[in-house]
Amino acid sequence: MTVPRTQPDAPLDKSDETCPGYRNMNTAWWDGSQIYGSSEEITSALRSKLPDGKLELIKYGKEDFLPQELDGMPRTGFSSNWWVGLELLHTLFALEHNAICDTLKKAYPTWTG
Amino acid sequence: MDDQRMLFEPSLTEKISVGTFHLINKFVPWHKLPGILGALNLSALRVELRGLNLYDGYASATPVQGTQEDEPLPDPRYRDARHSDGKFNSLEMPRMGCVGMRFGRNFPRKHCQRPTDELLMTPNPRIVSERLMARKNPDGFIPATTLNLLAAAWIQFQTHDWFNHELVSYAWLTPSVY
Repeated sequence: MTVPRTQPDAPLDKSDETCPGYRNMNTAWWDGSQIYGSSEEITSALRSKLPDGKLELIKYGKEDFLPQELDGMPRTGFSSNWWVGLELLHTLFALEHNAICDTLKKAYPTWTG
Repeated sequence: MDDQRMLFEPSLTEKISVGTFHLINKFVPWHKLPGILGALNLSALRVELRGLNLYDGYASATPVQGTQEDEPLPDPRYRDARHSDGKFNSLEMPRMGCVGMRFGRNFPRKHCQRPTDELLMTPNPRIVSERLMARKNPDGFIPATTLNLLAAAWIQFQTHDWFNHELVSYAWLTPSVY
């Protein structure tokens, strides 16, 4: 059995040798990076396919789903440690995001995406 | 831990709010207060948690967390709008909490010494899995009645950064078989 290990950050101070720091690969804020991603490039890629700043969704039959990468992973903010429960919430929040976009568009027709 | 000093200097309003809700909470907990009062109570608790339970992952905040001079806004819109990598949420310390910054800690760093590999693997994950998590009930699976898998999904989704670390690609820790 192997257990992946977290990379300690390069020491910046003597105390880092006995108490290492570990770097965050996402933003530490509760800022929607779950569905927007943690870089400007990812966010604009996810939001450029549909008008009005909406997140990209693909229709299979009658329902909307997150688009998939070639390996089957959903294209969203993050997909590490994937399982169906995680994709369920990613999908739910992307749908909710786009519904809010529609409502804002109705209330403020001059706003850009 | 009333004798513990706050790690930052709260404003006078914040101090008064914390003191007032300490008194109120002796009689009524925050979730029993009417909506807006309960929300104000939570915001006072947030001040306390930030002051007493959130420690920087760095020995010193400067210069790591950045300043307005060394990390200027790339576009004025980020003063009010979200930046995807988490920068500029604090205009004074622009890099606070952004991608690539260290996790904060809930305890002072001097109490968070790195364990030895042996200590890290004690108890061995396999022992935890086979003994603690084993289904001993003769009927097998015992359903949880108060929560379901959505709780696990929600925690992973909401606090996603806790589950997505920078991994060592060249070394995997292989616990010895007991």
